[in-house]
Amino acid sequence: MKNHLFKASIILLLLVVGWGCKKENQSERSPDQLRINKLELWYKANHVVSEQNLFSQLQPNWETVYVKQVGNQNVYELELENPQKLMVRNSSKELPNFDKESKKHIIKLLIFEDVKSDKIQYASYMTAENVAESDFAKLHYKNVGDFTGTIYYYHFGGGLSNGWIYHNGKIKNKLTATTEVQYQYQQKQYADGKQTDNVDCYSLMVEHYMYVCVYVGSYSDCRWQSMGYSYVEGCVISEETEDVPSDVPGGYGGGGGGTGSATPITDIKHKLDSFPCAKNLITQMNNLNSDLSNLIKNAFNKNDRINLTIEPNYSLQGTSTDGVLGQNSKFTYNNQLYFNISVGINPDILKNATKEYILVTIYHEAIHAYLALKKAELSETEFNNQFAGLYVNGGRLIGVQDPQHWSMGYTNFVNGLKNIILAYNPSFNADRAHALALGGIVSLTPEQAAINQQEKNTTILGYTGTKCP
Amino acid sequence: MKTVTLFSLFLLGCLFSFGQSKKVEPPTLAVYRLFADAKPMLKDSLAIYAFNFELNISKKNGNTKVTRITANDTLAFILFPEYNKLFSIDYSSLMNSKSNIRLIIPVLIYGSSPEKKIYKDGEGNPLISFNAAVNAAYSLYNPSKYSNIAESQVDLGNLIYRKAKKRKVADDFWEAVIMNPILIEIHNIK
Repeated sequence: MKNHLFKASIILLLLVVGWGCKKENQSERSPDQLRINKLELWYKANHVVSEQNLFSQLQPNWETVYVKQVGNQNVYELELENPQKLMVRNSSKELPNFDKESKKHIIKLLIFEDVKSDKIQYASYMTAENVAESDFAKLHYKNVGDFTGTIYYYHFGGGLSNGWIYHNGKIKNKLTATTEVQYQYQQKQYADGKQTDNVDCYSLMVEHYMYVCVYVGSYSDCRWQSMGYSYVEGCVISEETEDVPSDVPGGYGGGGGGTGSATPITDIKHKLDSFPCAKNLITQMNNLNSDLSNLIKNAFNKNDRINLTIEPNYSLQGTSTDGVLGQNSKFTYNNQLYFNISVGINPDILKNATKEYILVTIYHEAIHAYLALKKAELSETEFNNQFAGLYVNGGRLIGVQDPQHWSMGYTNFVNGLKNIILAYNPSFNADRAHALALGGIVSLTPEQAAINQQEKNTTILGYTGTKCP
Repeated sequence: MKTVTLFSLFLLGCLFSFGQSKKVEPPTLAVYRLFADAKPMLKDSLAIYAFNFELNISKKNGNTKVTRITANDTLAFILFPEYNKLFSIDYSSLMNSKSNIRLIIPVLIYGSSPEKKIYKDGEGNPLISFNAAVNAAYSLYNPSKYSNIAESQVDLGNLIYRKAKKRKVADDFWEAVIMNPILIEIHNIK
C-alpha cells in the first residue's frame, strides 16, 4: 500500500513539475493596476497621433488588459475603441456589405515588455480579419485558437510589418510588407503571363476602410471610405516550416523618451557597439517608413536565412571612402538560399558625420547589398528586367559615372535615399537631402559636394543635420 | 534517499521539458554558419580560390567524432582559422547506417576589388584564364593537393597526371559525402 502511495506521489509530482516547467514560458494572467499605470504612462509618452497612422486615432481600453508571457517577453493585449470602424482587409474584386464586413474585423494594441529588465520595449497593432465564425475572444497573440482568416502586424508608427493567413488555427501563408512598386511589377508579370521565379508566392493589396462622417451644420453625410492601401507578398508555408509563428515580429517602439526604450526586432545586424550613435540608427532603421527603407527591411528582416550586417571597416579610416560592400556568403540547403552579406562603414563617418549622413551612407551600401541579394535570387534575365539600364524619368538619361552604380541610378533609389533622410528628420532641407542622396552615385555639382562635406564632418562648421552626442 | 530520488526526478522532468523545445540545427547548416561570417584576407589579383576541407568522421555508441581534418590546399587553414570548430559539430544525421564517412566541404571564393579588374567583359565582369577556371572547378571537390596561389595557371591535364603518379590506384575511386559548396563573393564595392 505504502509502495503504491509512494508511486502515485511521484507521478503526481512529475505531472506538477512537467506542468510547472512548461508554464514557465507561457503564462496568462491579468496585470495589476500598478502595471497598467506603467503601460498607460509609456503609451502616452510614445504615442503620436498622425494622419498617416490611422491606428493612432484608436484609443486603448485600459480596463481590458490581457497579458501573456511569450518567451522572454510579457505581451500585453489591449482592446481598442474604434468608433469609426477602421478595418484592414485583403483586397477583393467586389466591395463587401461594409456593415456586415466590419463585424468580422478586430484591431488590438500589443505592448511588449522584457521579462528580465521589466522594461517596455515596443508596441504594435494587430489586425484580424475573420473569414469563418471563429471566436474573437479566443484570439490572442501567438495563440489564435481555431482562427481562420488573416492577421496583420503593424508597427506602432503605422507601417505594415507582416502577417499570416490561418486556417483552423494553422498557418497557411506568410505575408510580408512590400512596396507599391514591387506590387505593380508583379501584377505586370501576371498580366504579361510571365512565370515568376517562385510560384508559391503572390502579391496582394491590403485595403484600409473607415466609416467617415462629414457635418454641414446639423446635416451629416456618413459613408464607408477607403483610407489607402498597403502591399504584401504572400508565400505558402510548407508543412515542415509550420513552426514559423515563433518568428512573428511585433513591430517597433514609439521612439525614445518616456518610461521605456524602443528596442525593435530586426535582422539587420551590426557590430557597432563602439559607435553608440550609429548603433542607435540601425535600431531606428525599423522605425522609418518609406519605400526604400521598407525594401531593405523586407529583404533582410524576413528570416534568419538572409542577413545583412553593418560593421566598421577600419581599413577605410583616413580615406575618402565612406563605405564598402564587403563580401557575401551563399549556400543552398533544403532548396532554400542562405545569404549573409556585410557592409563596412568608415569609422570616421561613424564618429564625425551627422546622423543624416551616417544614415544615407548605410542605406547606400544596403542598396548594394540588396542588389547582390537579388542577383543571387533572380535569374540573369529577371535581374536585368528589374534593375539594369540607365534610363529613368520616362527616358531621360541619368549621368551615372561609375558602372558599379548603373543599377543604383534609378530615380527610385536616389529619391528613396532622399526620402529616408526626410523620414528620419522631416525638418532637414529637402535640397540638402537630395545632395546627400546623390553622393557617391553621380558627379556632384560644387554646391552638392560642399553640402556632403559639411554633413560628413561635424567638427567643422556648416552642417545642418543632427550631430551625434 | 527519498529526497535524492525526488530531486533527481525533478531534474529529469525539467531536462526533458527543456530538451523537447531545443531545436538541433542540421550539420550542413552548422558548417555553413561557421564559414558565413569568416573574413578571408585575400590578395586581390586572383579572382577565384577553390578548395575543400575533408573530414574523417566515425560513429561510436550513437555519437560522432571527427578524427581528422585535412584540406587540399593549406591556404584553407589560413583563410579559415576557425576550422577547428568543425570538430564540435554533431554529424550523426549524415551517417545513416555507416560507422565511418569522409565529408567533403567545398569552398569557393571569388571576386576582387573593382579597381583590380584589368580585363572585363561588356557587363563589367572580370575575365580570368581558362586554366584558373578549370583548376578551380576540379579542386573544388577533389581532395588531391592543389595550390591556388602556385598552380592556378598550370594545365589541368598535366596537374592531374603529375598527382596521379603519386597516388595509389584506390584513390581513383573514392566514396564521400559531399556538401553543397559554400560560396563567398568578395565585392569591395565602394
